[in-house]
Amino acid sequence: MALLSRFLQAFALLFLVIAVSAEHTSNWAVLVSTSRFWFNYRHLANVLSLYRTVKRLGIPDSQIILMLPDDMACNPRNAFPGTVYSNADRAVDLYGDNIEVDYRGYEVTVENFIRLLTDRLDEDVPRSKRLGSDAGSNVLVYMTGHGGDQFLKFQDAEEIGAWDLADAFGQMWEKKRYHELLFMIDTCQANTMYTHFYSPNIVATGSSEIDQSSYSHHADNDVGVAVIDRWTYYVLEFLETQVTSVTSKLNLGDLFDSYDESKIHSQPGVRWDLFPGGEQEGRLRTVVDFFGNVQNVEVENANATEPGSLKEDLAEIARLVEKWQKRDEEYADVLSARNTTDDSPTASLHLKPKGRVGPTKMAEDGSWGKRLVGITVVGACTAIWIAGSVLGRKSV
Amino acid sequence: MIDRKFVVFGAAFVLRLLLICLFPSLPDLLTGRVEVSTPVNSFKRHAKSSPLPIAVFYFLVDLLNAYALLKISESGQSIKSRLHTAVRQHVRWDGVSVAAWFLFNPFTIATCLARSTSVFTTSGILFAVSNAVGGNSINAMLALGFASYLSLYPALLFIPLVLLCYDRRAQEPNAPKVALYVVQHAGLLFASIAGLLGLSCLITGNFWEFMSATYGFHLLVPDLTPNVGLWWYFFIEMFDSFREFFLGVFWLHLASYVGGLTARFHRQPLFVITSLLGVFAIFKPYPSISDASLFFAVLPLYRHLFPLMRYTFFAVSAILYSSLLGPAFYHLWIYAGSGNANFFYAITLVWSLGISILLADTVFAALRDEWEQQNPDQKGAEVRQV
Amino acid sequence: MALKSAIRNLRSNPHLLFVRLPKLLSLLCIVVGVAWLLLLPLNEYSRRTYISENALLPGQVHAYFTGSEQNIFRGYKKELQAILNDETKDKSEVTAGVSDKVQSIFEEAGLKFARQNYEYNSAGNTHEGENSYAIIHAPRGDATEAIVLVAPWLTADDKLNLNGVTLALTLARYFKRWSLWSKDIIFLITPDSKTGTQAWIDAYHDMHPASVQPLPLKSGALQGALVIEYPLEHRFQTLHIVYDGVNGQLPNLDLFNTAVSIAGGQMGIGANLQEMWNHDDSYEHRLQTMVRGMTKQGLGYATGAHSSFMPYHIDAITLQTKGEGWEDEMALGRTIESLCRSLNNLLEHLHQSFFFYLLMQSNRFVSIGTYLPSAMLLAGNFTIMAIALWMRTGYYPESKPVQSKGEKASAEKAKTSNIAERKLALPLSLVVGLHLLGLVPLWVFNNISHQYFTTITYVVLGVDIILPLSLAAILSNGLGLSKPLIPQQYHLIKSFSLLLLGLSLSTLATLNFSLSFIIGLLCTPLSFMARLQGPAPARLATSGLGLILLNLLSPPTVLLGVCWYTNVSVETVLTEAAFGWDVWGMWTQVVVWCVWWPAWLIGGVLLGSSIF
Repeated sequence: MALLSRFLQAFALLFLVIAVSAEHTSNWAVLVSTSRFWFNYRHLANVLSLYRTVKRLGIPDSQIILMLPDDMACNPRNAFPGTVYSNADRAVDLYGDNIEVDYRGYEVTVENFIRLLTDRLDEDVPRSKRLGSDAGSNVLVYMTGHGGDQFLKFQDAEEIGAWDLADAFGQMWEKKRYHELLFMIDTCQANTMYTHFYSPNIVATGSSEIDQSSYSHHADNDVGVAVIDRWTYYVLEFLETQVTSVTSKLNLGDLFDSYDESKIHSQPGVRWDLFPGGEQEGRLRTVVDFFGNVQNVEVENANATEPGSLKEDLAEIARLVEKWQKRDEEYADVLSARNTTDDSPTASLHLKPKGRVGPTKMAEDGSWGKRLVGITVVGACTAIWIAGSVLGRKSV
Repeated sequence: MIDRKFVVFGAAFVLRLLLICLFPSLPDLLTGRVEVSTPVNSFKRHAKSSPLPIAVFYFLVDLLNAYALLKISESGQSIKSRLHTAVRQHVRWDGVSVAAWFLFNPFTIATCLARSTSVFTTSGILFAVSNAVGGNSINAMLALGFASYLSLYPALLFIPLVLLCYDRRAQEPNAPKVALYVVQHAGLLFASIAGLLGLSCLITGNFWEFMSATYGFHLLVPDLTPNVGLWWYFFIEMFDSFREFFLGVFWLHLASYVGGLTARFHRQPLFVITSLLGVFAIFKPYPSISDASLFFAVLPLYRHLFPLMRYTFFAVSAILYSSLLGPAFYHLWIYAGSGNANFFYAITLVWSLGISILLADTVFAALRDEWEQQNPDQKGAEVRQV
Repeated sequence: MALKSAIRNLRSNPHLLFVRLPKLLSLLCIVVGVAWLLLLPLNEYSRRTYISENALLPGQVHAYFTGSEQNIFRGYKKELQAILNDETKDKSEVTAGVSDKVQSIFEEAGLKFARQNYEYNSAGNTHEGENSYAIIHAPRGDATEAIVLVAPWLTADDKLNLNGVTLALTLARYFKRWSLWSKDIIFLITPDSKTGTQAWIDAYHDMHPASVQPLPLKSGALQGALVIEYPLEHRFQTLHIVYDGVNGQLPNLDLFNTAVSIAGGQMGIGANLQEMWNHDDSYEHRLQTMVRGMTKQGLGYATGAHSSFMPYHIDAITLQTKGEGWEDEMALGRTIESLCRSLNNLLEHLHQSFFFYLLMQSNRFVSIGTYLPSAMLLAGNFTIMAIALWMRTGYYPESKPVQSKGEKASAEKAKTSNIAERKLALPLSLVVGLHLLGLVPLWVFNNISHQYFTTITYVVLGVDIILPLSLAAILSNGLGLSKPLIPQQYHLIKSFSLLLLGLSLSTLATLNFSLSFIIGLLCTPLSFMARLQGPAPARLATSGLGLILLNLLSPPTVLLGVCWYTNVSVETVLTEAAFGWDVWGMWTQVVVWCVWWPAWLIGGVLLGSSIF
């Protein structure tokens, strides 16, 4: 009996594994640079290079979330206005055409990033800023910036911790927002960022071990800054030279085997243990499983009502229109009410001015009336004082 | 022989006049110093400067203050009150010396030249005390009302001041009951403040805006420009949600000294006022050196306690150090850009420490004096200046 | 246990506690303070320089200033030379001609141009001149920030800086064609290195005196300034970087590091500092560099046209070409181009690196945290002595009065009724009075004409001999003016004087370390000055000798000695000092006359009183 139950268990497990390794239905990419300022040109170039690669391999802009905290192309210091290059040969202008930045400038924050991953965004956030992945999506998350032991700085003011990231992925898994996830990070002590991940089906790779810096690859002496980081450079080199088409059969194993520490100048790391089947199974995933778009497209049911369907969108738009109309009417009412009675209760609709504590400006008023009042006041005070002196002395 | 009084007052006036004539930029320079000008007493906040007449007016107010101080000293209340007579009565300075000490104190001069409105508050307080020791309790309350109307915090002096008035009154026949006397005078104080508020309301028009811009400013401490006090840095660092709580705590802390000191020194109400002025110089929300100068001004009334004080050297050293290092660190912070707020705040802590040592030492000396009076056989035993 | 018994020992032996221990402690402070400074050049205490500001990215750009630009340079230089060497014109005509030429060059290059006239009077000399300047507006920037390039016609050594000015003009034309500036670039041509930049920078911030014209043309907040000096007529070997500002204020270390890194690393031109031409990185040379830096910082004068920028918190350095070698004006031009590109990268004011440092080699420095203790220890020695003397006057009676039996009872009675108070009035007034007296020489040295300076120095020298002795005579004997002083009052005089000295020096150490250290070192004997006791001949001999030695350390003697040693006339030094006070806002004289001199006088009075 016991033997039978164990056999059944084993069978179930096998079934589960097969179910898990079933093919994904969509591809999403989240590409994040976390630093701004001219001297961090390379971080933006890193991300833009990767953006270009995933687009080349077929992921459409609607399924790429690109977060760029700064605009290097328009920086006055840029000797080649309107362009961003990730190589001193300046053969490919990464900013050339068709760039869709979803989060820019000060929108790139830890909060927005986590909200994006876990889909806790406000309902009025447009679709271009949402990660619409589901239980069938393979998601590529690439991050680059300045980091340290278990943290990554976002724009100088804040940072995301390794636990924050692990929890975000954990929630994504619970909310069935990914099928498999490839996490890549290029920063100093990058490998520490994925140490706390706990949700399954994640392959993580980073550019450097704890206490190691990640280095830039080379500088462009006309732009005057480093244009790309080493690890990203060699990853891209692999992707650009080997993975030439969507049909490429190269797998993650090939990609990670291509890491050459003598070139990267730091020890890149890979974490397999969260992946079902571990390294053996993980290595078999093709590169285009994450970097390219899925080929066998599932035709959406026109009647489906889950988020993202056409019907749902139309209904949503109708709701919005209704809502705004209602708001307009209310506003018109308020206006008319205000016009008729000056101090009507509708005034309470407006924000009460915050109790002001501070110096107020006295009106510059040189009229004789005020001076007269002033003299009277001084006179009265003097009179009271004198009266006080007289009375006070008497009372003693 | 010319009267010493005129020499001192004249010299003080001429010195101030000389200073602004020789260094015409000095008043504006001082007005810009955070040690002298705070948001509540700064000259430039409420008017554009018109040079000499205003300056002379301020000089005269300073002289009046000195005159009030002279009267207080001559009354001898600090040495011999109704319930207490100091042991070392003969160790004292006469009124002119006390006035001179006030008039030639660099802190007083700086305050006066900076045209800080604190000098009016100082007048209010000093005249309140001088009228109280002179036996005119009505004017004492009017003057205190004026000071409280200007700066709010002098209202805390009401209890000791009323006690001082009562001391004087009780020495005469058919003294009224204490409770009744206090209530009467509280009424008087309120009436004077209300009268002044009413008049300002008449002038400015909008009562509530006026109140929030003046007393609200004192109470809620919205302006955190650095000054020599302890509040600004604390409230900059504070989480906003705790702001109201700590405002309450800070004000309560300040007010709590009134009860304690009055209870302990009820036999010497003038000493309570003196020590409270020291407390204000340290703990009030927008202190400046003018508050310290007022404390230093009333200290010589207790010249007879000096032999009992033990740490004057250290207190004076701390105050001197902070008076030099404070501006230096402020310069490094604001102008040179090579220091930061923490250094300056550290120095304001030293400044407060200096005044605290002085205050604590004075209180110790006063306690010792009372003790010696009660135990005449122990007089002079084991007191040494460190 | 040993400690406990030692403490018990001290308590039972007040002489040891109040008289000997403070002296030992003071001496220890001085020795440790000086030793501390001497240790700084060692590898263990100093650090290699590094660039803290990420944005600077020194040397990461190609500098393209070469080739055809050299022809432009030669053309400009020839034009300017023609005007300068025109012997048919007098001096003012030449100046006007040069100024017009500069204007036409700037305007042809497409820059906005303006002039400013100024005049300064100091010590009976009149300094007047005209600044010319032009602005490149950053084509894609927002005009809120600017960099300044200064080329004075006369270098800090009063040599004609024709190449420097020409280079600035060429660079202006060259920079104008780049579109990558994020900040405006201002080219400032001043007549000399002493007055021009001061007048200009004062007017830029609307802080100028009436004798200086306001600026008709301005840009944004200044982020940095570079001064170009190329007074040679041949190729140069190395760059000499001058960085000291007025009152010892220094530019951010990052600016210096960037210049060294670009000159040395990118351009292959060596960079020197503090006139150390053959620095072999040995201990001696490091120490020498540091001491030279400290001397300049301590004197607090403007060492070049860049110095005037420092009080406004604008980081600035001067690049001087030195030696005979292979580098030409194009190499200097490329260095400046690269430096400007680095400054252009800045996002905010330089603030990451140190403002207080001592350099001992172009790539080695110590920061304030490491060196400050040495000056603080020197200042602390005075404070320790002051506190000890105060305690001594309270606790330790100098000499037990011999009393007869009858007196004893009354004395005891007096003791119980009266607690001994210190007699403060006279010591306080003497110390305050002598400090106020310092205002007299301060006023004199800044208000008389320069030809009297030497005479007045000797007069002060005489005063320094007579004044302490006469004061000592009055204090010790009364001479009918007052009661003779008791020992306690001598201690109090010394205590107050040293307290003030310690106070001033420790405050000064945070502002100008070197000045505080130098004055502190010169004042160290004052800690040990006291009224001597003992048999007359020995006392007279010791105090006489002491007075002579003390006079060797008086401010005027030190001034004369240093002038003799460096072979500079006293008049020059004092004229410069008065100029510094009048124009640069230099505070050195205030420290000398209101801190050092009074403390020295009191030391003299104490020692002198032994004679009487």
